[in-house]
Amino acid sequence: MSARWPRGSGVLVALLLLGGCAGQGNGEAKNAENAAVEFSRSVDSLTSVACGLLAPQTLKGLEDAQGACAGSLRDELKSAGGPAESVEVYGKDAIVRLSSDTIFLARFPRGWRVTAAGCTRQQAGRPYDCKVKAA
Amino acid sequence: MKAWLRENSLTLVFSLILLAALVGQALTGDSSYNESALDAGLPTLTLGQYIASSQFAVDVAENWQSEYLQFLLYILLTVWLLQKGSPESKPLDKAGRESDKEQKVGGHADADSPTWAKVGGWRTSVYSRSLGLVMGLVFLGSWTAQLVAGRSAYNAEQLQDLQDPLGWGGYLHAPDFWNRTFQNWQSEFLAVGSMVVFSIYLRERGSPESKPVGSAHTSTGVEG
Repeated sequence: MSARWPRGSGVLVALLLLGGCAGQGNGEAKNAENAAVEFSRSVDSLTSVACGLLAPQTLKGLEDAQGACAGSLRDELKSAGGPAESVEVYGKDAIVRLSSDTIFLARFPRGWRVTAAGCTRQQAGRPYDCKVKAA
Repeated sequence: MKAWLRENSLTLVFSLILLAALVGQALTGDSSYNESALDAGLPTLTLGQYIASSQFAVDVAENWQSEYLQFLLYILLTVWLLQKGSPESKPLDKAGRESDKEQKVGGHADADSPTWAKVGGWRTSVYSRSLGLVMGLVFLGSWTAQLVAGRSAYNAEQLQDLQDPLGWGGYLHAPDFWNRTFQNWQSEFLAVGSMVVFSIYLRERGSPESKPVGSAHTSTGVEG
């Protein structure tokens, strides 16, 4: 059979490997961690800041179910989640595990926003049970 | 210039349609990703971001690894395995690596043979297997790219579904990795097997992939 593969394929494979790692840098992990910690600290005292850090669909889900964000967020997440213990970022999605909460985030044009908070792990292979999440 | 274009037209055309197909895949893949993201209220990706994403990388790599595996297997298996009547097979009495004389290596090399075919020793040994070696390395590289990008893309979906991401061991055991792998492998094996069998009985006048139109169905290893 005739050769049908392009020259320079090795270079393209290397680029694909880089693509697979895209968005997993330390910078984005730090940004996601900062957003999660700021959100968690703001729930008690600066609830408007915490509400501003919610992803649009999550804010809508909370307000549709519980009413205005400020009061309902404080009711759902009664205490701050503590310091970050681990962060994982994949593309535009991240999970930040605080000492007493797990927070999911997504990177929007204006920065990292919380898509779910107040999350506790269920059995393996099942979604976390989250007090605040998208509708 | 005209002669150069004509003499390299096969490579040029395949390079161009490869690029066109990649552009089409990028445009439609980005559009498809953004449709799902908007439905879920999640951030969308620009075309540039999509091309640099693990989602695009895994979709490309899973197809590439299977193509290179297909050619690697074809190159190696046709050294020893035969198919009576197929132009894809060697003549029935030629199975194996063949003699140095038949392969024009060492003292049997022609004046214009590649240097590494003439010199003997490890260089001739490596050069005698260089096509399979390079195809095998590109296959392994593409498959590794599929693993790396696939895990990243899968874990992004896991996080969107509020589930834990998987480590390397977990993803290597996950259905996602092996399903992407096997669904590509089966189509490649089907295509090669079909080519071997169809070319026994069917002809394409002028194509080196076919026997001459008038060749008998039983003639093996004859290319038109």
